[in-house]
Amino acid sequence: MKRVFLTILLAAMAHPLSAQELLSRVETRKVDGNGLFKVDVSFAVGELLVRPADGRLYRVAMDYADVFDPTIRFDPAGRSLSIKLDGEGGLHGEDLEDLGQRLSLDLPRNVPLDLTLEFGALEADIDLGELMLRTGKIRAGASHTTVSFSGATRGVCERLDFEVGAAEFEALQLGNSGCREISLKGAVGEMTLDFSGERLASETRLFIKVGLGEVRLRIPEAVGILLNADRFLASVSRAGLVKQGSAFVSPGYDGAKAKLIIEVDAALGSVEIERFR
Amino acid sequence: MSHRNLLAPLGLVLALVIPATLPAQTAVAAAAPQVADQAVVTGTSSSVSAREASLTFFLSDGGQRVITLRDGAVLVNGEQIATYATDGDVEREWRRLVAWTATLSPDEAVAASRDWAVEGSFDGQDQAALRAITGQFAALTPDEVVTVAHGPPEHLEEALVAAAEAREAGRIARDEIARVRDVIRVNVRDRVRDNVRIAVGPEPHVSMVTPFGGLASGLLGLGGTFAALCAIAFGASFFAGKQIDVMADTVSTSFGRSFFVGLFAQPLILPALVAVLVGLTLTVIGILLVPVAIVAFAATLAAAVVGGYLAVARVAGSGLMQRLRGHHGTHPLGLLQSIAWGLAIVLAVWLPAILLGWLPVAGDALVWLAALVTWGLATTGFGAAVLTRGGVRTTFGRRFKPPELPAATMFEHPGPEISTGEWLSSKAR
Repeated sequence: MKRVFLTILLAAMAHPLSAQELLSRVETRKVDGNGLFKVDVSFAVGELLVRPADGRLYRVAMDYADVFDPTIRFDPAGRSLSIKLDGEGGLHGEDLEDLGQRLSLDLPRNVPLDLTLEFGALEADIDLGELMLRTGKIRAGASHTTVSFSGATRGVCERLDFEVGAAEFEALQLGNSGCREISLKGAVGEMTLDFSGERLASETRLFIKVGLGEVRLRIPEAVGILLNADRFLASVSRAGLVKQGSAFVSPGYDGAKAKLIIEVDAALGSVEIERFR
Repeated sequence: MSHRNLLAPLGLVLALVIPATLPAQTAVAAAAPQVADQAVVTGTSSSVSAREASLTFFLSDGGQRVITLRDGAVLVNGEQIATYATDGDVEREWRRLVAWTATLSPDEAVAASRDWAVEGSFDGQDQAALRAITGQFAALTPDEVVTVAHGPPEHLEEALVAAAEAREAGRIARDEIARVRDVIRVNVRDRVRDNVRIAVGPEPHVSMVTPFGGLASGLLGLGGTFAALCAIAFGASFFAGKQIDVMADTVSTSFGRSFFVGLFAQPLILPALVAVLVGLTLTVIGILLVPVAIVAFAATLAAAVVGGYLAVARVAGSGLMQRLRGHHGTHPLGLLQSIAWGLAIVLAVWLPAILLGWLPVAGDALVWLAALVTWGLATTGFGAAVLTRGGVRTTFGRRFKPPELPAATMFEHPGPEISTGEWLSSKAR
């Protein structure tokens, strides 16, 4: 039995690793009309960069290993763009890390967007500032992800959802997003939500559901906070909040121009609130 | 025929013959193109690999024009329209154009393509290829007319060259990494092979030994196992005493059923684990919980087996206590005491194997026998754990009757059937 096992092991190890060739593809197109534009991105592994583009253009640039078969589907009539570079192409672990894959996506600045980004491993740097974001859904696997709003968005942002796996996740300048509802579902890892910015909605609802992760909330002092926490073994810091009924509120909550209503559902993780001027 | 009329056919002949026979130093963009139907461009796509470079123009009518240079052939929408010399000036300049247009808007890309001028020495084949390509460009119309510089700006050209060099360096580095890995793999494989050869070379004498090794170490191991199980039982008596009693009831009243349930449940353990893992891998977050699920599954399985084994020991121990003292143990430590006695009994099956394990054939047989008995008892306990859902469900343990109650009282007032746990609880009260 031992010999059989070793034979199988040696046969598996003897499989040669061939070097992968990187291919490049760049697509630039115009998005006409004023209707909603749906963008759906699925990117398995590599570096992901998202930026606002000029006017009504979108631009997709990807470097990918030849074992992958990416698809870019633009439907002008249906007003949708689907980008897929997923599957592991038979590669694993260190081979995936060495690939040097990269997807750079420039989104049209002047078109209302429903954006869905789903990606697996490695790094993601996503800047959604100055876009006309209506809804955003970002699902990150095991990665280091930064989502930022470098400038104030335009139009009405209804909802922004983050689903984070085992990741180091930062959402910065959410105060520029203007989104009315923001949700964060996190499994494990460190997650930071920073609410600095100039366009925080008059009333923003924030839903946090966390398993084992640590969530850090950076909220300006001018923003009123109402906190409801449903926790099992998790710790939730209250940062000067005062108990009012079953909730905790910040002093001067009723008179605050921008209010953040936070619902926390935490099992074993921690939620920490940090205020700043 | 006038002088002008004589020159016209001569010029036509020269125009047809000279390009086909002599290499020309020329800028080919100005040559008469093979013009295709006009179409407005709404988007572009560039793709580059070692084998080909391709430029796609998306058209306003929903169509597209894909111009590809691959392995010496110029393809338009997959159909060959010309050929060129590979690794020559045409291919180099084409790749440069493709890389440049990737940085431009669609309108700029059309302008850059239409202004494409290639300088160099070209034979007839390459000239025809360039004419075919520029003919395709001539048929393109931008959505908005824009101007663009002739060729990429200097810094962009430098960047393109640097990017090409970096890509080549990356490719070489990846090849080197792959080569080093292969060397390491081969070395590891050879070493493993050598070790295997050394290990299996002299055929060792195969002899069955007890799991506890020699006599002293065997006895120590058995004592350690007894102590460890007693420690677990001590903790379990506080936190799950009732559950162990329910399982013990089930073992004592449904021994055969428990054994067969345990027997049939064992082959289902792995499929159950696989089903859980497959279910989790359907979602990204689920994948991340796979390690947690594996640990939780293993812990649950271990708890079921150990708990079941303690329940079997409880049955054996309470029977012994009944025989020796006439009761099951009425004081608070009765449960623990009976489990300790029971463990001593069920582990005693290993004593003959340890003491007589040195015997050539009988020793092996005793080890197998002890292992078989232990497996049977563990299987029965595991089955009881499954039947009672970890000691929660009492359906199979209801027939247990406290044996110390006077028979006459039972005869006159049968009373309800209760589990040992309920009985002990009432005693404690």
